[in-house]
Amino acid sequence: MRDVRLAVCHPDEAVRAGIAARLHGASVVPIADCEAAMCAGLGAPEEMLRAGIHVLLVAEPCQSATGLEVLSHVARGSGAKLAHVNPDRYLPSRQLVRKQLAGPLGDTGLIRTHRWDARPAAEVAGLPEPLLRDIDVALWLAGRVPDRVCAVGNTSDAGRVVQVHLGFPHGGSALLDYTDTLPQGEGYTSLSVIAASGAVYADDQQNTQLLYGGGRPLALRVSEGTTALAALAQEFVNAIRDDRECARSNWKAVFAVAGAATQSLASGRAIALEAPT
Amino acid sequence: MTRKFRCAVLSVVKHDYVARGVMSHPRFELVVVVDDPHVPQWTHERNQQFADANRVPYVRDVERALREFDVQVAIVSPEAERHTSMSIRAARAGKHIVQDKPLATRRADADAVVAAVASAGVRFLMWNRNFMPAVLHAREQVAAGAIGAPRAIHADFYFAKDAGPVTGSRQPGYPPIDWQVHQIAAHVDGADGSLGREPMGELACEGIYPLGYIRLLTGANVRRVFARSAAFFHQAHADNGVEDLASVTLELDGGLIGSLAIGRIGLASHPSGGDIKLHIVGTAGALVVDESRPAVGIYYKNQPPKESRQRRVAGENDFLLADDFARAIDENRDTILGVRASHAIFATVEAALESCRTGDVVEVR
Repeated sequence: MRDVRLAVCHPDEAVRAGIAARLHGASVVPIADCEAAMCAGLGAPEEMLRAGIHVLLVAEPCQSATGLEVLSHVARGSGAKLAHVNPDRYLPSRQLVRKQLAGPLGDTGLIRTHRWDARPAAEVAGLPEPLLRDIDVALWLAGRVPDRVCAVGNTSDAGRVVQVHLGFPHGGSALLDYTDTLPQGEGYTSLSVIAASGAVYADDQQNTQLLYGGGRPLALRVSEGTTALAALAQEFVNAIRDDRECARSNWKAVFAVAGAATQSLASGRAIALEAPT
Repeated sequence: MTRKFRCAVLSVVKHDYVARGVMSHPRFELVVVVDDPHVPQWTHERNQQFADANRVPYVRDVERALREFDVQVAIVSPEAERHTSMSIRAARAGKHIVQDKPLATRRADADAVVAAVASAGVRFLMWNRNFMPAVLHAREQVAAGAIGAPRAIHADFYFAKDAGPVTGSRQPGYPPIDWQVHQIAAHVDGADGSLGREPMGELACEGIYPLGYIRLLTGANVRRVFARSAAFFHQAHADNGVEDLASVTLELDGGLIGSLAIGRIGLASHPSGGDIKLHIVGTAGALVVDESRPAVGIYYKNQPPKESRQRRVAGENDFLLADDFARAIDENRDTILGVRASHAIFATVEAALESCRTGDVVEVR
């Protein structure tokens, strides 16, 4: 089977090289020579799709519902594949959590995420964009969509705090909080899942090293590297080679939840959510 | 010389940790264990056992013992339904009170104990975990302004404990598990967290701890809640319609927001008794606090499954609670978790349980 000619559009040369080095069944080529493109912070996905180029659109940031609809329409017209995928799903920690839930841990009971940033994020569907990715991860891990959504938040000079609470029909729930109030510097993320037969804890607090340079030690977080993007690119390449649908996030459900959360923020009430068709 | 307080334990049927905790302080002296004469035999047996272990008499007449043993302090730890009646009787007798959680199982009882304590002018301490080293450290950081003004606070409070058969294990034709019978039996391994005639879930039983942290660290009252719950792990909870897992959204004074994740989630879910964490976001920074630290990791061959792999050290919660109580008596001031604060927490839990039933946001009364 021939290699897929893939363009990797990413602003960081080291990341591009890292992805290229890890791909099986693909040759990384310039945009002008590609049949498929991975657009991660660079590239013109709409133009590529019009030209019949398959596009993997890394959802960081997420597209709006309207923007995604436009791209889907263009892709349908040209016959190109479009995958708009949340890269957070491909983080090694999240992949491991998902595998454990499908294996020994069993059904999800309570999903908890914290995401704290130092810079304000763009707003998509009325919420800070990273929160949409967290909603996507929560729905993916839960394997179902919520029937109840309650969101609260506040704003100060320091920034915004938003918390989204999802209730699932089986009694499980998810608590997702986001803030951009951190002082300038690195952010913090944490994911825990309480499941039927156990639990998982993926927390930056557990994954820090200490640097002693005088005074109080610095906590240095060990990142999960670029393996998430490489895994994402590989899945895209495999889908093209196998001529199948690309794995994708359930954006329709994510936007439905985001809409309910926005409504809840505005009204101060919990919002009932019907399962999307 | 500082005054020493003579203490009566008013029933000690669930655990004896409250009584032992108070006695960890040299200013408190246990002089008698008391209960009512008509309580069940198993209750008498546990009271007698504790009295014998501490070489004090067991008296089956509460009022007489409070009158005749010259006690200043009542340590109230019967089944949950009897908490308030015992505390009210102690208050009326002019005794300062240390009470086990929960404050009450009914609103009217919660109101009554607040009124009785206020009327008697005695000190009241709800037993809590607010003097855990990590919590104290967090309080110091917040008080020093290290994270600015708190804007959000999140508490995880999981007990990695089993509680009998797992959900879904009851065979057709078998009766539901009797709550009190189950809890009495669970005393053997300390899994009887919610001992009482009436079933009680984790929010009602253990919610005082994380909500106590939140109150300590923010000083704010909870105004509105949204909550979800499930009997996810244990058949006893499922059979009796109470939760073993819950999540709560909190709206507090001043626009502060927060959340609580709580559960009795099974022994297998954590190597050291359960994840207990605080996340606090402020206007100038944030804190991530592991309540179990400091700790020492201990691992060895044939280690019992229930033995904690991370053993907590340097904890003085018991002593510091008792010390705070003694100082509160000396200085005629409120304790770290007094009766009104406990009532506020009761009201938060009550609202959360109502939200679980209705699916709506509920105002805290």
